[in-house]
Amino acid sequence: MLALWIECFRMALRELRRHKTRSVLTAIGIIIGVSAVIVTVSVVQGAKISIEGDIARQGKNMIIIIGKPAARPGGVRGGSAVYTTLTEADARAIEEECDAVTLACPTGRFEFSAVTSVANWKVPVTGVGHNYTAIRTWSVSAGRDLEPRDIVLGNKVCLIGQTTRRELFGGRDPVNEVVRVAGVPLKIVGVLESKGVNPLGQDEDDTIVVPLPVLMRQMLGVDRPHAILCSAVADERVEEAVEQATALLRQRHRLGRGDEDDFTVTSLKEKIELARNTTNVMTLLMVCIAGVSLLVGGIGIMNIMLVAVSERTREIGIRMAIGATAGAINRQFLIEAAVISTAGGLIGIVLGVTHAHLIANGFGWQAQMPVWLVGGAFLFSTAVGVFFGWLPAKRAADLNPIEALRHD
Amino acid sequence: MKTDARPMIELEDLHKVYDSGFTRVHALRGLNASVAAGEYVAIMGASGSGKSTLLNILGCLDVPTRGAYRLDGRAVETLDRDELARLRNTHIGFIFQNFNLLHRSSALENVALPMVYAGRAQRVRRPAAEQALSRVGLADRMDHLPWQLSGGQQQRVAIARALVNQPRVLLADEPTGNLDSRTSEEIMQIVRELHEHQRLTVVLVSHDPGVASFAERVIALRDGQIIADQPTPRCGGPPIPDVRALAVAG
Repeated sequence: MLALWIECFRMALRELRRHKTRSVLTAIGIIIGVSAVIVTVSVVQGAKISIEGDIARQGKNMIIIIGKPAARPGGVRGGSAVYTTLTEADARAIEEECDAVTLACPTGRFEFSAVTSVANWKVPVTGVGHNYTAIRTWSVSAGRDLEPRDIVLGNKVCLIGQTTRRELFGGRDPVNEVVRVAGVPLKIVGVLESKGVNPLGQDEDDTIVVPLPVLMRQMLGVDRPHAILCSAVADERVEEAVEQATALLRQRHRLGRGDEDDFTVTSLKEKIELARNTTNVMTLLMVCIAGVSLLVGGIGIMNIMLVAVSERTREIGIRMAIGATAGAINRQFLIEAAVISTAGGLIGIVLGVTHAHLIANGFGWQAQMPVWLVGGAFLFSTAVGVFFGWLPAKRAADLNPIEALRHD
Repeated sequence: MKTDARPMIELEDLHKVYDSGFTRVHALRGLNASVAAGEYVAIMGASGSGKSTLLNILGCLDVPTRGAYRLDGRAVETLDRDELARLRNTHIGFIFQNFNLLHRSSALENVALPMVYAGRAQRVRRPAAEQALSRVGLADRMDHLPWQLSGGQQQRVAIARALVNQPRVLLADEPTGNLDSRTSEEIMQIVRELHEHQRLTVVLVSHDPGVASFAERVIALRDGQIIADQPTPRCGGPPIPDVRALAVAG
């Protein structure tokens, strides 16, 4: 029994070798389909990991609460130097009262010119409360971080990002140097490590971080932060933290049941899930499109096997006369079809993996090659051969030996 | 010449009817015959006499419409397609007028093929095939492809293939039809030797009286019926009738 299977396999390989050109052409549809699936899925998965990484680098379990413009006392609402609905007290309350939130930090942001004795540069300035670097998982590469007393006292100190440092100081160590921002002289106490470009395309390293009181009172003349950054206790509790913070703020801002939030809350986790869903849909789309190529390849196999059966009618008659059962003939042709498609699948996998790595390297990503992708492609290519080889194999097995022997 | 008591082949009121286009052809009309194990029989007849149909039934490639065919005691008319195939594999060896070798397989691979369908392993098949080829004098041509062999050599490969599974019956359909007279002679000698040494039952179909005379017994067919069943001249019988004369009504 096993001998028959092995022999069928050997005969199939022999037949393929005899018609090399024909076999390759037949397998091309499968080769293209499989390699296309592998390349596209791998690239999309790589994009997904890259995007998720970019988002996650913003901060750990981070939640961003952004205030909406509010009326100043005096009734004037403005666009720049926005007076928002959030207060520093809100941030303290969230940190203390929401148990799903570990840290909360009020922040404000505005673009100013930064000037030294020899250079100047327009840079986004972020004013921060306690724990900013912790929430943003952002360490200091030289000098020191801002300390609680800097924030409380509103000391005129700052941290500088790598890009801003380069623009203002070249290769020099900027620690203890003074830079004037909006007329306020700030002593640089630390340099932030590089964070790269964020998903919005902004250079995170182009920044100056000052204590919030310095930004708000001395530079902008307001006392409301633009946003509150929070860090949830754990990834699983991010949604809970969002709910708790929302409820607390609604209560503090005295919003009734029918009132809309006067702030927006988003978590990075949401963004990651959105990115994930989008890439999953893209993956599915790619697989479907490549699947069409596999379908066409399968039809090609069916066509060529029908031709083969027709060409080898006499041979089939001889085999039957010698004692081949209909099942043995069926099996032989089915295995031939499966061997073509599987060989095509293997070549497609090799080509696909190679190209996926080339493309990933071009983007600077790590090529993603999940086992399910390669294994699935292999199994599917075999299945295509079996499925599309079924009809020709049946035709071969149904031949009448006497008539087949008379065929030329 | 005669060996066992039980007949190898028994035909009882054998009928074969088939549809050919719009007409119904009654190819065999109630044949009765018995061939003993080890007998060497020639079947003769003009075209249309039913001899090919009879050969197909004897070879288990076809089943009778009515009546019985017993091969080595086994009732063939009751078997299904797969059982017939297995019977062909184990009990019957075929040789054909046009040799019917697989063109893209070597002589060795051709001879080994029946053993593949019998499920024998490669390590058994190869020596058996080599031995079969040696017995017909082709030990030095084992890896040749059919197009590299002469007609006579191809027929010898076919004979080796027919016998490799040690069948009960050797069926030969015009085995010398495509060979010149000298090669025909060689082939018929080989068949005769195999018959005598291995006590094979041989059924030969031919229109050539010279070829038929190698047998021990001649059965003549006309219009699907046996019109003569006699020993051949070398076994003490009358001269072999001319097939064309058989076709004339009389």
